[in-house]
Amino acid sequence: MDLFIKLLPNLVNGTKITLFVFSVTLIISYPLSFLLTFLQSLKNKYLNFILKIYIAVERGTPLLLQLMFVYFGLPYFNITLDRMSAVIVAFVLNYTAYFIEINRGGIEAIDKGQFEACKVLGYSKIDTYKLIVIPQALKITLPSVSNEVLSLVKDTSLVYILGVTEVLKVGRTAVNYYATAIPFIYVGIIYLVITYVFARLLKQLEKRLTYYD
Amino acid sequence: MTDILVVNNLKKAYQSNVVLNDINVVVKDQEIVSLMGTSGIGKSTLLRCINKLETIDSGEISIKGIAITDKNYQEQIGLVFQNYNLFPHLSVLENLIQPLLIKKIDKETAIKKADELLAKLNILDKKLAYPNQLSGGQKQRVAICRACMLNPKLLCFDEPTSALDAASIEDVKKTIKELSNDMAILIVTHDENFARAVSTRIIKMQDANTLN
Repeated sequence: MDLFIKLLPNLVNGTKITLFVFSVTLIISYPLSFLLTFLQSLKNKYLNFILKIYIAVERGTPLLLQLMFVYFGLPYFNITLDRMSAVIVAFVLNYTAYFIEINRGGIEAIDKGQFEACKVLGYSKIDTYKLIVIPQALKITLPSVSNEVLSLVKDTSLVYILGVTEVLKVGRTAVNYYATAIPFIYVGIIYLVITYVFARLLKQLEKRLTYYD
Repeated sequence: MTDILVVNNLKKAYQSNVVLNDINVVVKDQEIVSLMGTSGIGKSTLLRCINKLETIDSGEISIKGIAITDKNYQEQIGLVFQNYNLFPHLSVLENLIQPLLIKKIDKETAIKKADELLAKLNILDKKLAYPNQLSGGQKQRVAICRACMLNPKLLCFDEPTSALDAASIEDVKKTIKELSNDMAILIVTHDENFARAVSTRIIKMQDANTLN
């Protein structure tokens, strides 16, 4: 208990960083993915080619490598970011790519008749997406999005590579300093609590969206 | 009676497969015209061309003199899909008013119009329900209301009886006859009994370029 009290301020600070990286990534990448999915639907071959390459790179390389590239590699191209900005850029780019693929699957699952109804009723392409397609795709993709959200919570631990002190790094430092594995248990409990809370929230959201099943 | 729908020399092909060749159709005001023919003959393609769901290769289509290329064309026409294609995440009322709201028509006017139509089709009590809470016949009535929200000059039906029981078929016959007082009606159907009972004229499609 003494150890827990000693570690508490650092664990709280580490958890704040974890939650910060998590929430900023989610708040930027999820809406951005819909914008890019919409652009993808315009079927511009140049734009789609660029998006294809982007998605292939983001999904085909480890997030850890992407983090290192953004922080250590971009300065070679005269782009220098501080640690936290590099973390956010790398995470947003990575998660947006995954969300685009999830959205695409969701949109493909929507009945073609919905698009035809929009056309006949005079909806513009943007209105079709904003008012009809995205609300339905949100529901279809929510289970996959939930998985990504929970992965994101755990992926935040990768930011240690850039020297950002999130909750796992606090635990590792404490393990080395106090020569005991107990801090790992505290860190594990913190991750469990965070993922449990988000899993519950997302489950509730899924339930709320059953109103038109 | 004035001409509402005029189709002149319409041609539509999918690669080398000519589906519609030199098709001419006229539907006059207050007419109920049924378009019949065997499966794959091209009647649904014709309906889709008229509703701008397919591009045409050549020919002209107009409604009350407004050409298919005119930006106001779409407002002249309503379509009731075979599967109704209601938006499942929107209530009946929202399904009806949203197409008007996106055209910047004020919400009060849109709701008033929706209430009138729902009352006329005897489904006002379902206005807050979602499509999944409605029977097939009720869904069709909502789809008819939605197609009529912008006061089209021509209302099209794609296989209106395919998913209905006998009682609902009687209802839709009555509804179509009532609606024909205000607009022209074009129906694509396989159901000859229905076509005979409801139509003022039946067009039989025999092949890609023959209409009788």
